[in-house]
Amino acid sequence: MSAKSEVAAGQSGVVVDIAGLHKSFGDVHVLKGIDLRVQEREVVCIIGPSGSGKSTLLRCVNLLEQPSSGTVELLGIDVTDPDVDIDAVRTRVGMVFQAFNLFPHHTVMGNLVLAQRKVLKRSKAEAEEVAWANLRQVGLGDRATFYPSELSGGQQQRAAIARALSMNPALMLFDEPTSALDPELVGDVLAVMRDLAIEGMTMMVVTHEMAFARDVGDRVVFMDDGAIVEQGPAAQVIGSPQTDRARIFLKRVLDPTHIDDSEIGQTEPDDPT
Amino acid sequence: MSLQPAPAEAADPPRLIEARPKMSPRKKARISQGIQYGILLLAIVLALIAMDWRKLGTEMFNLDVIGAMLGDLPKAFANTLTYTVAAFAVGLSLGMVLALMKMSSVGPYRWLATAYAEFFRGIPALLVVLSIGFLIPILFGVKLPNMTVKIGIALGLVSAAYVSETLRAGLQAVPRGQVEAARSLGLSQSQAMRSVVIPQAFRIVLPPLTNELILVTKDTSFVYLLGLATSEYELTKLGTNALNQANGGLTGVVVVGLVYLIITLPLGHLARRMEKKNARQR
Repeated sequence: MSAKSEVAAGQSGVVVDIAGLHKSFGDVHVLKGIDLRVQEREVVCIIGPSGSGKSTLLRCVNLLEQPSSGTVELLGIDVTDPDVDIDAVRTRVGMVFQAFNLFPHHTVMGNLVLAQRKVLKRSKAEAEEVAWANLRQVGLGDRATFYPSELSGGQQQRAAIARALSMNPALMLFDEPTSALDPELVGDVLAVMRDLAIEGMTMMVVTHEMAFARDVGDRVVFMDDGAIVEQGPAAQVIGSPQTDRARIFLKRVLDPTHIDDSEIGQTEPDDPT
Repeated sequence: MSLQPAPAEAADPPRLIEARPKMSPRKKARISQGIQYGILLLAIVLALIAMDWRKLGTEMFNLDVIGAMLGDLPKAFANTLTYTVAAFAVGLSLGMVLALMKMSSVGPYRWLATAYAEFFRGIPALLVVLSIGFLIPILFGVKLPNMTVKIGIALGLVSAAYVSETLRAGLQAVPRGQVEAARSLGLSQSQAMRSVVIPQAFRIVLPPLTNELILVTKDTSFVYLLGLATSEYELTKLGTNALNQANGGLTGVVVVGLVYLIITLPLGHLARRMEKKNARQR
């Protein structure tokens, strides 16, 4: 039984199904029982304070981190099952990192072609054709021969997105894709992501860009201390959060210059003041 | 109680910083630099005056000795290169195995590799050459076929200890995100290693490996310990033999010293050029 045919067969509307997910690093309990489903064509934005486990959750989805317990189903396949060929599943899941992680010893074109050739066994001509299409989509049609070190951060991140798209993924994971960028370069990357969302890509996005989460996200998940505290339609969670923890977090992110003196250092509602 | 106005200042307003000391730091630095140049110049002048120039010619650049050496020089040069290549080939392959052992998830492999490196870095290469040359044949009853094999194994064993450390550091210097990016594109662990990690590690380890190659080149002089047939002479043996010639002084040593430089200087130059060429790919 080849894992590839399983991947193709799993298109039942639910792309990601996470159940009872726990993750510990040594004594540190980072994820404390996460249940989350992502439907096809859905854009789920995950927000929350740093250290809340957002990135770890994302990295558990394609098994860059091994979950301590619980299950993660991708396209109907339980990837936590040791018998599953995770490499085959990963070809259908694109990942974009905060630090871009382009291969510095390859040109942009080399970056886009590498996995297509080695993993999907595409011919050179076919791989390059796919690469060109994706480079043009992210606005880098004129940068194919450049090395990553010769690009700006925003260009590198868009190249990284094009690299992931070249594998024709069914799901894209974004781990704080704009956090390492100069402010004036954030917009280009977000625009590329927005266009992807409009085209119907299923996306999980860990981000601090609240405007993006509100305008592009279908659903916003607020995490704190390793658990999902609140989730719902993007406009509702960001516009009128129901929990104190989400309210305090959002106020600090959206309006950081108007923190009252009495609120300094207070990030939890039950903090002693 | 009202605030009293500050008492009127005396004629000179107080200066916050003593901004014009007699000796400013920059002036001191200039004088210090002048003194350093002076010492250098003095040392050169003294050496030139004290040197016996006529003796320099006969003792260090004696044309008769050089002429007598020239016939054997190409063979000695070739032997040095052969011994070097043999030793470095052993060192590089064994070093790679040891580096992978050091990063193994199997504990005993790691301990073995670490013990190996500590052992061979801790004892003089000279002792290893003697052991391989004399002890191994006695203990195991095997006869090593020729000098290239003997010195290749002996120096290779020593070199592997250093090479393994260099390679391990190089492999680990490639950021973890590179492997993660490769794996999340669907590459297997070994594909990620071959296509992403090793090419980048290679660039990192190139300068220290060149350094190691230069060290091995020089260490091939240890073959003299094993007793050489004339056809097995390498540069150092040739040079020290020439010392026995009457009136030649140190000429033999000077000549082979220059030949060593002909080998080692281009190596260093080559490494620097490759480093520069790779600069935009990192």
